[in-house]
Amino acid sequence: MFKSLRTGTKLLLLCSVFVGALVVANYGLVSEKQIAIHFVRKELVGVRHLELLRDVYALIMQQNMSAAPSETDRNAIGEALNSLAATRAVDFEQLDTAELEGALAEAIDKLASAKSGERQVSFVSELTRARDLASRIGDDSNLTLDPDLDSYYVQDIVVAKIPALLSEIGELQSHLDIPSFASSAPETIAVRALVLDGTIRSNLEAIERDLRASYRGGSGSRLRQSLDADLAAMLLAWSAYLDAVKKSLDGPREAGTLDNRYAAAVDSAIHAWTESLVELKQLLDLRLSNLLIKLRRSLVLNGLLVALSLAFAFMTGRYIVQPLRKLERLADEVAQTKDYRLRTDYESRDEIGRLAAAFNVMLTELAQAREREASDAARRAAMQTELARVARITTMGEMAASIAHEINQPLAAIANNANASLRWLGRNPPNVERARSVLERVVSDAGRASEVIRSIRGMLAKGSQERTQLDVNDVIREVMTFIWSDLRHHGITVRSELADNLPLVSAVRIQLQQVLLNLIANAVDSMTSAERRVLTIRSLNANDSGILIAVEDTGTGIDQDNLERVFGPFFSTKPEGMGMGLSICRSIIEAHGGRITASPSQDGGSLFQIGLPTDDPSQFA
Amino acid sequence: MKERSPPEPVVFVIDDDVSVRDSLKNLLETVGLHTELFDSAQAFMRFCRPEAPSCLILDVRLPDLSGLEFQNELLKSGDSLPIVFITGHGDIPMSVRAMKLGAVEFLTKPFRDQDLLEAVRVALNIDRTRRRDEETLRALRARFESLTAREKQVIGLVAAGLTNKQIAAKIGISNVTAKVHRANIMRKMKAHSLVELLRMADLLGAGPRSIALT
Repeated sequence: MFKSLRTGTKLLLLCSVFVGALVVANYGLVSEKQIAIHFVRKELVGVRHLELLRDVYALIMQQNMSAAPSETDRNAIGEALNSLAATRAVDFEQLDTAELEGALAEAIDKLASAKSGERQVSFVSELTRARDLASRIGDDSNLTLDPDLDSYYVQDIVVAKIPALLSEIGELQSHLDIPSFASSAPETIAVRALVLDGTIRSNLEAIERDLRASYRGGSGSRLRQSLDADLAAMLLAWSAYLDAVKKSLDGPREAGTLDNRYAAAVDSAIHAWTESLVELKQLLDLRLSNLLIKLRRSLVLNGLLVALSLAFAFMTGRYIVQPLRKLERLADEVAQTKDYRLRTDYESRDEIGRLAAAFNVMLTELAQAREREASDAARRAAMQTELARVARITTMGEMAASIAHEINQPLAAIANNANASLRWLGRNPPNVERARSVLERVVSDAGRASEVIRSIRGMLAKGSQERTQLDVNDVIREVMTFIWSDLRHHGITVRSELADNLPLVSAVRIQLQQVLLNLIANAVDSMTSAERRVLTIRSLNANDSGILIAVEDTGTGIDQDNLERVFGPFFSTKPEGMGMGLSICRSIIEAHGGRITASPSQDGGSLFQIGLPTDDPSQFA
Repeated sequence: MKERSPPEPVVFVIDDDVSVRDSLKNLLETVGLHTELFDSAQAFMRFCRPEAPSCLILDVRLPDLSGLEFQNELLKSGDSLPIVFITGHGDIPMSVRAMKLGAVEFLTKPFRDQDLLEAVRVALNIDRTRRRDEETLRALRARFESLTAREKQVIGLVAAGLTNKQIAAKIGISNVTAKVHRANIMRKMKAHSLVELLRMADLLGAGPRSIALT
């Protein structure tokens, strides 16, 4: 079925399959990219949330344990929380943080209304809430699942480590701030401070590890340049604060120094957080724009490929189908006009070009073959004409020789006798008696000569190419008169068995004579070396089959294999034979509506039979 | 013997055409020649030929055996009968072949009567000469046969050119006996001179070689 489609359709099919494959492959690629883009966008949402949360943190960390939070502070925190909620609404509630925000707001309210004794606990719970919120933001916005090395470790710092640090430092400071209100003993506070100190230090180390890991990412040295200084400053500030804490636990409290160092540590942390967020945002933006560029590029590339494939298909179609159509038209034209000089002018080195060249070569060959054929036919025709002419001349030559001989014999006799009678008359005295008797012989010989002439004239005059009604016996007798001396000369006995009252046949006399003459001449030739030489000529009325003429001899006969071939042209068993005789005989007999057959005779010779239709009207009834 | 009244010459005619045959007979009769007519070579062979100067007018085209083939047959059997060929359509190779084999003339029908009669005359003369030569030789042979053995021996030596003395010495007889033998030989051979005897010996082929061999 595919085979019978037009080439253009085939190309179209091929092209559409290719384009389809391209689209499917592209769809996979694009959707993967889309997923990645969506992922990044969600991370960016998380980053925005974290920025707002950082502001909240900054406000929280400014609170003082010694007094209840002022109205303005609370309002600022509330505003920050509100903007967080607003952002969440803008981002279509992608993050499930509303509950935790609510809990944080509640904790802030609680702190504000708490008695000074419970304030520390409320503060810690407030910090814990904020920390939970930060980690929830990280979880929901996929930040904790970030696939890249640099952004993954930066987000760890931003989402987990810095909030944790701030919570811990806040708790530590709160313990140090209000020991008098602490329900527990100073030893307990010291232990707690030690624990927190350890945790903070281990957190700081973790941040350092994260930084090192993130630098190994793909962002080059830019990340290190922008983050290293800030985070180093933060680490420095924090270790200074921790030193101060240790000192205050060991010795007299230097409240001013500790608070200052606390504020510096918090500031540096907030600052580091801000910078980290900026960097993270930049990394994510970069990734996003990269993804978008790649997506666009692959889409454009695919579009180009599709366009290119379409163009190629179109061109292929144009350069295959068009020349093929031209060739087809040329072939049609050659078939119709038979003008083999036509050529295609299409030139190319591809298969079609070679086909066109081969087509031209074929046309040349065809033209040559046609010419050869024509000249062959002409030559054959000329040869046949020549053969027919030679055959006619040969027959005429044989007839002429035969006529010459038949006339020459009586002529020689006449000449001799005339001379003899002249001699008798020339004697002194003339012997008139002898002269007369010899002259009588002259007269009889002359009669014989004129008989020969008459039979020849009969053969020729009557034998125009017209058909006449004739008795085959007459024809046989004429031929026998003509060939009599030849037969006698070869010592052949002739037996004629001619039936009486034969119906007439319509035939060309001379042609029938020629056939009989030919058959008899063949019979004579075949009997030259035979012991017994009998030629039998029969005629009989075979009624329905017309008239039958048989020529039978006792000669060498015909091989069984050759019985059919003897009538073919150029078949001859005689060394000088041209093989036209029997072929001509058959044409003549068949032209008369009859048939001629050869068969072995009972005496070992050959038997030729001619069947001729009679003019008896009853045959056609 | 018939020598003094030579027999009448005979012309044989072989032609399968009766008219031609008869007309030849008519023509030859005008010059007084006797003819015998045959329609085939076989008929001629069956005929008992008379001892007379004769010749054969032979048609080339004959049933069974052609004229040329018949000429060959005759030559093979040692028959040197002179032949005049006549033919309806002779060609040059055919006539050359016939003449090479000794035909007197090769005439194409119809021919002039003088040509035929002249050819017949020549042929009969050839036959006459041949017959005379044969007659002479036959007579010489008869005379030679009348010689005694010794005389035959001597005639060979004479023919070789030996003198009487030499002959006597050679065969161990006396000079006189040799002379007598020689005289007898001359008489019996009817030779009138030594030259004539030598010519006779030559004709007989009884030269010195045959004598020497005996």
